[in-house]
Amino acid sequence: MADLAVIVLNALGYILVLILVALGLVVVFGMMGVINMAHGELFMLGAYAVVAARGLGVPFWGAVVLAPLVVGAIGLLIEELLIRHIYRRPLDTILATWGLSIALKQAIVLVFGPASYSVTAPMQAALVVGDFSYPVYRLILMAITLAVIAATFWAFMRTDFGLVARAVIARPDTAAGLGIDPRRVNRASFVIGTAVAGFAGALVAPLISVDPQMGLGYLIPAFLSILVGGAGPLAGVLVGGGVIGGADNLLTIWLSPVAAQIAVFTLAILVIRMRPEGILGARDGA
Amino acid sequence: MLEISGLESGYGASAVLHGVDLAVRRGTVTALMGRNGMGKTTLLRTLMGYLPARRGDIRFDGAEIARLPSFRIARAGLGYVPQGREVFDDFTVEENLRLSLLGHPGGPRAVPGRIYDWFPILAERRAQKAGTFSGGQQQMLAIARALAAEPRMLLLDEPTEGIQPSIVHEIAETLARIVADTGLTVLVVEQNVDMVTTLAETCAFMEGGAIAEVCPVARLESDPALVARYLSL
Amino acid sequence: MAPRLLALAVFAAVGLVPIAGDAYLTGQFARYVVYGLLAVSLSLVWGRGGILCFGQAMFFGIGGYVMAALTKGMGPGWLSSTYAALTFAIAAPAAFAALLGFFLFRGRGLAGAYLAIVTLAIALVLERLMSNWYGMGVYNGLLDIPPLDFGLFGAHLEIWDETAQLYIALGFAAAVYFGLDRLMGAPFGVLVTAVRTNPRRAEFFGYDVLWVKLAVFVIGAGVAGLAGALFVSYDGFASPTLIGFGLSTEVLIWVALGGKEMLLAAFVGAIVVRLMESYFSEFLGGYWILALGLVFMASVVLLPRGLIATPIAALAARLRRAGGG
Repeated sequence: MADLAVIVLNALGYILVLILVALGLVVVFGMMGVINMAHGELFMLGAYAVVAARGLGVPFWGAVVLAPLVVGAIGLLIEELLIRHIYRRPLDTILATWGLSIALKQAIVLVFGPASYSVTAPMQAALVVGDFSYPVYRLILMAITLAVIAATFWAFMRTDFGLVARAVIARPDTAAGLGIDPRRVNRASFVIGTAVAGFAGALVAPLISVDPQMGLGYLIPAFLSILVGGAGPLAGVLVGGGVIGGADNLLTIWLSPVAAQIAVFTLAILVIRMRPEGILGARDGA
Repeated sequence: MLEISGLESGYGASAVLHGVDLAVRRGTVTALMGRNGMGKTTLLRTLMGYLPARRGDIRFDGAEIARLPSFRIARAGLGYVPQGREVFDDFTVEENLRLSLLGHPGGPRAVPGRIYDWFPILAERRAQKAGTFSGGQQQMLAIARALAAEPRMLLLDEPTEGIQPSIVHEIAETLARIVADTGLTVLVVEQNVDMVTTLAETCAFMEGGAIAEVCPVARLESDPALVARYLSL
Repeated sequence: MAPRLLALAVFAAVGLVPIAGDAYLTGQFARYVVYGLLAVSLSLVWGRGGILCFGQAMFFGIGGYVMAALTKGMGPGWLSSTYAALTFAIAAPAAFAALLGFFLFRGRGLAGAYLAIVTLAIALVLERLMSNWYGMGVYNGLLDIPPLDFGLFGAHLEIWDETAQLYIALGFAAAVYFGLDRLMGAPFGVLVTAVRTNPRRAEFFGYDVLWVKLAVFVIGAGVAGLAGALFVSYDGFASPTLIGFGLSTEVLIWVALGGKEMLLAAFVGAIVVRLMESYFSEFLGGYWILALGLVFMASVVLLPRGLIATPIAALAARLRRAGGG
């Protein structure tokens, strides 16, 4: 029973982080119809920001707050120097951001080296209830992630900025005709998306090994979550993230990590093919 | 209010507008008429900055707007009701209107009351999603949306296309009332002669990507040959 | 479409390497040419076919592994000859591509970003699969792969010499290049371009978009498989890196930098980038990859048609104007 609880909680934790990463991705994806192939690297940069900050003696929670600011600033730079120029060329944006991901990975290797780092969690305590024991940090991570996801939804659905952003996603030209500057909206959305990714990376840093390759392992599931979930722009990510993350965790336990990855990707691709509009439907498929 | 001189523009390699010259006086309603493919929609889209003006000038209230991005043109006081309405289906009436306000930082903070006076149906269905509306109602929403930010001039592209005749009449009357109430300057692309005679004072005929003739609307009724020349196939 | 003369010049230039350089350089160039062949396959699939495949190396890897397994005698004896193995090394990835393509392009088909991610995911899955497949040597792969043997009727003609390796690779590359050039110049090529630029309209004209895409995809896979087979025969071993993410990324860079719409530019792009890598990575170390990433980004933004293809196309246009008017 205690084991089952641990499994469920671990799965939930992974799903929540995946959703957070996917949210950052889907906002940009919805805006520009293109995937930022370097999104995983922005996640990675968040983790490395924590590594660097810790190395400078900054306390953990300070580092976690700092990370999205740093990554968001990098996102602003990326938007200004790269994305802006190829905004109307979605396929070229895939390639260019792919090149960016290579450059970012290598930059990290040059600065931090190729080996992995580990970040110690701010607390080692565990919640103990009879047989059941679970690290407190993981619980806090889940709470924070849930809060940020909720905040993102709220910002998107209930604020003026969210309204404007959704309008630009739906009909960019019409929005411009109403006086809305699509460029500024896109830039803001991009920066927010990158900051969220960086934040996710920072939170997750104590739990996994921080190395230059960690981004890809989140990029693909995040993207698959978006495709599988459908609808949108945001609700689908919840469903997709749950399906992909849940399947991955469960299968890893029953089979092996390798088989699980194969199974999950295959499952995702099958779903996308059978139902291009995603599980929630009502979205323009591929 | 609006002075267009020598305007040329088009799509990709082809040219659609071949030197358009048109002047719209403040406080007047001008109808732009002509067969399909003559460049009427292209002209409006170029005015709004969706298409780059390759040559020529556009002066709006004395200011040059020809090469500005669309959102700046909108903020300069030019309201646009596109062909096909383009309402945001998933947003409510209020949200659609609110977007117009959000796009004009210096403009009204809230939807002006008279918008709802002019379009009572929108007041009734404030919280309803625009996608559930009929064509005529969506058209009214599109017009209201353009008016919400209190523009100085309104561009309408075939507002009555695809709408049932009774609603067409209602829209024409409402627009006439709005113009009377506010002294708004209007340039409307229309094929519907009844609509034009209800609403407009001046009529400009487009042919082959340029303005062929400008005349008072009264001549539409007095000279049937005019209509035949520019509008029939 | 570069003039045939230019292509001949390129092949001839590469053919001069054994004369101008030493055995080591020749051996390197033999591998570069093989990589060039892989680049040509991606250029065909992507630049001409419009299929953005982020995992083209998977066909390279499958071809390599099949070649390795068969020539090592891991399959039936009658398949271990070079001729048989090569045939299978081309057919296997082609068959896989047919299945995959059918699944991916059928009906509303995947395109653009979706296709890119899915093909990337598949490449990753395959790499992990090969890394964990005990029969195929897991992470270390298969070693001691015999060289190409073009002997017949019991005689042997083993290819050990770097010069021979280069000329054989060049021979295959030229054959494939001119063959594809011919194919793309024929009505089929026009059809492929039509499907790439406007699939809906092609469908309205009655063409079966699925079959056209499949054809291009399968041919590309076969060419990539050929390249893979040659590669493992030259290197003597096959490992999961051949099938995966890293090489897929590299070939994408070669083709994008060279010029995806021009087969020759892609071919030259691969050779030039690898050449530069072997030269620069010595004293640039890790900065080489960083520089490559940055150059790649700049090229996508500024010269989307390719660093090599753009000047060639401009030159060709000028020649055409001068010659024909």
